[in-house]
Amino acid sequence: MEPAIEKWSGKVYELTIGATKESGGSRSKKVKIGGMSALPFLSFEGTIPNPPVIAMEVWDVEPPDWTDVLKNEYGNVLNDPAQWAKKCEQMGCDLICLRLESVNPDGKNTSAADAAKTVKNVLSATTLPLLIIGCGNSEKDSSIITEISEAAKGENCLLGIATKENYKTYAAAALSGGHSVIAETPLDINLEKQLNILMSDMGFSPERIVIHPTTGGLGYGFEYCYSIIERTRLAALSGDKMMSQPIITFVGQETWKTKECQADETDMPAWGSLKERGILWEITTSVGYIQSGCDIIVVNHPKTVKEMKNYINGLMVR
Amino acid sequence: MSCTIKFLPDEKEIIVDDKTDLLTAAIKAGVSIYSSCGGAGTCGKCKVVVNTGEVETSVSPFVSAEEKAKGYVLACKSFCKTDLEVFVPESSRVGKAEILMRGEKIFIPAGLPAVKKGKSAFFKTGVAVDIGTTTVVVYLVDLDTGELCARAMYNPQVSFGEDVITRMIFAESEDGNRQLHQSLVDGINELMENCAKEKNVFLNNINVLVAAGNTTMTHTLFGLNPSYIRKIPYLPKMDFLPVSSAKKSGIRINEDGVIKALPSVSAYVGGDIVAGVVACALHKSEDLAIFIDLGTNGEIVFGNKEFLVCCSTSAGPCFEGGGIKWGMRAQSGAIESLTISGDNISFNTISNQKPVGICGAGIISIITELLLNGIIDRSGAFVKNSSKNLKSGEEELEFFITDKISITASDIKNVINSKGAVFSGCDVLVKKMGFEFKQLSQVIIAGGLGNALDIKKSIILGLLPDLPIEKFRFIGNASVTGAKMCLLSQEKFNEAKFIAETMTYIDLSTDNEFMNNYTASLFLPHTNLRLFPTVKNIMEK
Amino acid sequence: MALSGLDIYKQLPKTNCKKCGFPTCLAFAMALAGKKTSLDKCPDVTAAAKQLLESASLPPMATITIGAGEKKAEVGGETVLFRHEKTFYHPTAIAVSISDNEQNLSVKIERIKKLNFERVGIMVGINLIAIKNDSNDLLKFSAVAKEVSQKLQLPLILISENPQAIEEVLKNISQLKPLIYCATEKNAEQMFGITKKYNVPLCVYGKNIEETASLSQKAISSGIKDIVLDCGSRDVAKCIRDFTQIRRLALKKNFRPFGFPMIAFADNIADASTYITKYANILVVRMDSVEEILPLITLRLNIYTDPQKPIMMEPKLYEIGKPDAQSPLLVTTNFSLTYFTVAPEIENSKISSWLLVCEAEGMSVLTAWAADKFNAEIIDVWMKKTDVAGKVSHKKIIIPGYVSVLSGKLEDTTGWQVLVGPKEASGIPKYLKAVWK
Repeated sequence: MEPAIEKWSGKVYELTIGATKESGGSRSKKVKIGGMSALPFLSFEGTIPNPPVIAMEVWDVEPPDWTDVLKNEYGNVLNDPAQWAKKCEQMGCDLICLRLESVNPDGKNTSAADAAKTVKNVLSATTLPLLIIGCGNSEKDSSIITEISEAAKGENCLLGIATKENYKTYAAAALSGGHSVIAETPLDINLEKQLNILMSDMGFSPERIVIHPTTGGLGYGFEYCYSIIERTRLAALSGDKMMSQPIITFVGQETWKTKECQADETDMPAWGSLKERGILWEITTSVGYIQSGCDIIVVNHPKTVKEMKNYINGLMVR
Repeated sequence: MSCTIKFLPDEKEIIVDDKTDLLTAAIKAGVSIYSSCGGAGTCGKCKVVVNTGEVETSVSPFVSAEEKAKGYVLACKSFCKTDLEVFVPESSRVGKAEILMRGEKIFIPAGLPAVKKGKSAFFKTGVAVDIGTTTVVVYLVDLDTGELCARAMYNPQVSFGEDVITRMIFAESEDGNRQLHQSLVDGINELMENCAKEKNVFLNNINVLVAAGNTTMTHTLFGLNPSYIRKIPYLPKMDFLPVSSAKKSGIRINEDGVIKALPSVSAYVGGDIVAGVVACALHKSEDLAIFIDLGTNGEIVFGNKEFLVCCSTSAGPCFEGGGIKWGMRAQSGAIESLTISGDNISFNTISNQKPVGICGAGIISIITELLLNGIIDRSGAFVKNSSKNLKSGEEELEFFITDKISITASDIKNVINSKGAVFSGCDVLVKKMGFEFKQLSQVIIAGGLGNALDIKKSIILGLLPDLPIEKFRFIGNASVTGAKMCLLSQEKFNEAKFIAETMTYIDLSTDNEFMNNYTASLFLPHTNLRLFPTVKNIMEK
Repeated sequence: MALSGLDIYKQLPKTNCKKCGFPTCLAFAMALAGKKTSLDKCPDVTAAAKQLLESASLPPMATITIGAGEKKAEVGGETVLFRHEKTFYHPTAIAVSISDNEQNLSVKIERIKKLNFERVGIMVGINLIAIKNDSNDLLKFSAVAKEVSQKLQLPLILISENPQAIEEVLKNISQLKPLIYCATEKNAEQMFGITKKYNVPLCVYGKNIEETASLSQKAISSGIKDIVLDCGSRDVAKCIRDFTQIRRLALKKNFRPFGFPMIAFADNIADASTYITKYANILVVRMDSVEEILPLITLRLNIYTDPQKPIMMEPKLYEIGKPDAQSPLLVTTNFSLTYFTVAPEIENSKISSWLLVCEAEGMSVLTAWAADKFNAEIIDVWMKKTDVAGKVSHKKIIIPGYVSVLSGKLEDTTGWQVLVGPKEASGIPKYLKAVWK
């Protein structure tokens, strides 16, 4: 019986997020992702230099739609992004994902300068490397990103979320501030690759891109993203340089808005304890994405962080 | 209430009631107005100017405030309240293209297999017709000598919609089916009469007409309602259309004459494609070959004498000049090729006439040049400030070839959609059968996009597979060639029947592999550059 | 190796007789290659061709049935390593374990009865019960097995390395075809004998994959056909590596001893989720609470969804922006690409809107219309299902320009005013700005 070993010709780009003092930033550590030349945890056929990492979300406004199951974990820090970030750091995550929701034109519609201030506050409150993402309004996000990039200059952040509509602005901003970019496309492996090509054709290094293939919640399109991630990773290992980027999914965001994580026991007695249900939903989704090849998962519940850290450590043992 | 409407500049009058929209009124009055959506108010092409009188009309995003002030309305969404005088601007007239078309010499492809005369060629003169979604071509054929006279025109059904689906939708409206049939028959009769006049033939001495068209067109020729074609399961009872009498169909040849249509394979692969296979003899080929019809439906046939599979890719009319701002058929004055160097543009037109528009071959040439000169990126989007000929047009960026003629951002998008559909159709068909492009011995291309079709540029665009140039063969309008062959020989007609029976239709409309491949093809030349090794080399330079 | 459509076609009569229900022999051959029909539909295939085609289509991994009757579980029969390559066919059978030492068996049974849920209109739940002979008491083991199978009506996995214990149970319930767990190096001969005597499926356990392979080979040689593999690893990291090896060897190298379904055991949700994604055909879990089983079942449902079906959106009323009772209402089909083209354009219009996505089998607007899956009746049904009348007050609905033909019928059916929108999504911003004031 000969073992069945795949001989892969390619590997995933390795990307560093965060800059320590030596490299011109103020983070306590750098976080490296990607770099593998094997399918997830199959260390018998390649190297897996970096484990998947876990980011926690920090908003610059109190999230209006969060369930109490989440809110209760954070107490009174939800209206103070700096304190919130500190709390997440204590909860054991690898990265902070700062979501600048306040700039949303449908909400507070704050200015780029306000957002930049928040970025600076969070940077001084936490020593973890940062992901900084906008409010999701493509136009508004691209109008603030240059200033955000400037405010975090030298900290080697991961900026998001660039789309086909605004990638040029994002790439230029990231280039001048020394950051990397999350590039998002709607659930399609070809569009994903096309955006990477367009960005690299304009001179942005493909090694500084993280792919967001869209995140489907468990039971809500999870399987499409799962397969897109698997296919992306297989393409990377087969040597396709435009699909060799690390991958991120926003698991928490898609988990906690589902009915399964919101409906209480009186509405849905057949579904068991609400408190446990949401956490288990977030863990199951995280495991699924990590097994498909995801490199960064962004989650919301501290228990998920703890469980997933254990899980990943266990899997990284050769 | 009835009102009299006078249409200018044709000076045609008609009396209609206030329930009849101006588009319908115009069609009834014999004034052709362009309408690609079939009167749904969604294409904005049937703009007319109300000079005098009052109309009831609805708000349309296609009519600007400025135009509104000048009296512009959408004909299909306007109804008379009083007697009217309505001016049909040139941009809304089908007539313009039609005039250009009539009297033009039709390209007759060379190098096709010679037709052996069958025993059943009984009548002295016959007619072969290609009924395209966009164009109708009529050949008058001397059954002894094969001598030809040909005429072409835009399919008069264009007034009811640009593609087969819109026409099927139109056929569901009241009287829609009859109008489709009537306008088509009128058009064929007109072309036949022109030919007959030129050749001094009495139409009464013609006893047979062989038509090749897609399934929808064949249905409307016989007056059958095409809207049933779409219903699942489509019963292929009309695949083998009966021979119909000329009298019953309204075709003005001898009353006792017959109308024969080439049989269809399926709802979306029709007799025109069967005719194409007859013309290029794919069904007798020893080696693997692929036949691509670059028409509105973009049908593809793949196989050899062992097997034939086919599909329809809904490519859209852009290779025939449709759906493109300055697009036109391959006729005099059409830009057919172009080169860009720096800010300088040089181009050729058909018959070296003053440029009036761009034909399919020209469109391919232009977009490829834009890509190679960095004026568009690989997604087909214009790169700002990349050329001084790139300017803001009425609504979007346009690349100006002359002071007037341009190619717009949406034109490019349309072409990319079309070429993506055709290429991925080929790719999926070949892969589904377990083959690769490099195993093809021949790629046969048919269509009315112009003789100047540049294969190399078509490959760079990602329309055609990256194979050595000598494997390609352009045969022009294969549908009418096949129809003519079947007119001259019963043997060929029998072959057509055999092809239609044995060819296997593959439905791509719900095929995931095709969808995936299609999005990959919506890039220049393709998302996967490995499929285009020679283009990769060019791009890297 | 699987045969291509063309390979199969060459063996068929090529008469295009249509008796199989396909228009041509080639169409039938391609459907055969895609496992969408069966060869017996062709009445005229020659015996020689039949034999050839059948031997070529032998699956690389056997499908094993556990249990009998309505609730029997089929496992295995997989043909690919990644679901996008084709699909995964038989969802991981989830077993909840019960010890025969269980203090309060009826409470446990009641708990397990709750592990059934409705998802996307169908009931899904656990599939098997694993009874463990912790007591070492043959009669107790047998009694518990009997009671559980009667009360839960689910197929069983009998967990004991003691052949006497297994036989004691089988004497009573062998007709229920439980899975025997397990044959080891030590008890193999006896277990093989029992398995054959009662004609039930058997799991072979090896301490590592080499031992598992040799035991499986022995089982095959002794004439056992229904085999399940346990490769011995309990640590999740080692387990997924072993499972990957076994699946690859079975599928790509046709290594017969591994051409069977695999069993995994999990004590926590993360490990259990891992095994569902990576190749367990049977998963035995210790967890028995609904909140733990619900996400697992959902994950299984997702992973085992056929990816060849078009990507669909959930049909419902989507909010684009923050729509209110005065906001426009647009309607489209549930093809995901359609949704992802339409939704951003509505967003671009900066006019908050309702987007009604109707069930149309995941087809685009024109395809769905062409196939009669997007018509006035269907739109009406979804308008009612999603209670649009309760959400908007203006009674106007905007339909895609391509299906303007639906307007009349839709107005008659619903009594709403129908507005014909643009044909292409790119026209939406301009359209909404002009029409929605």
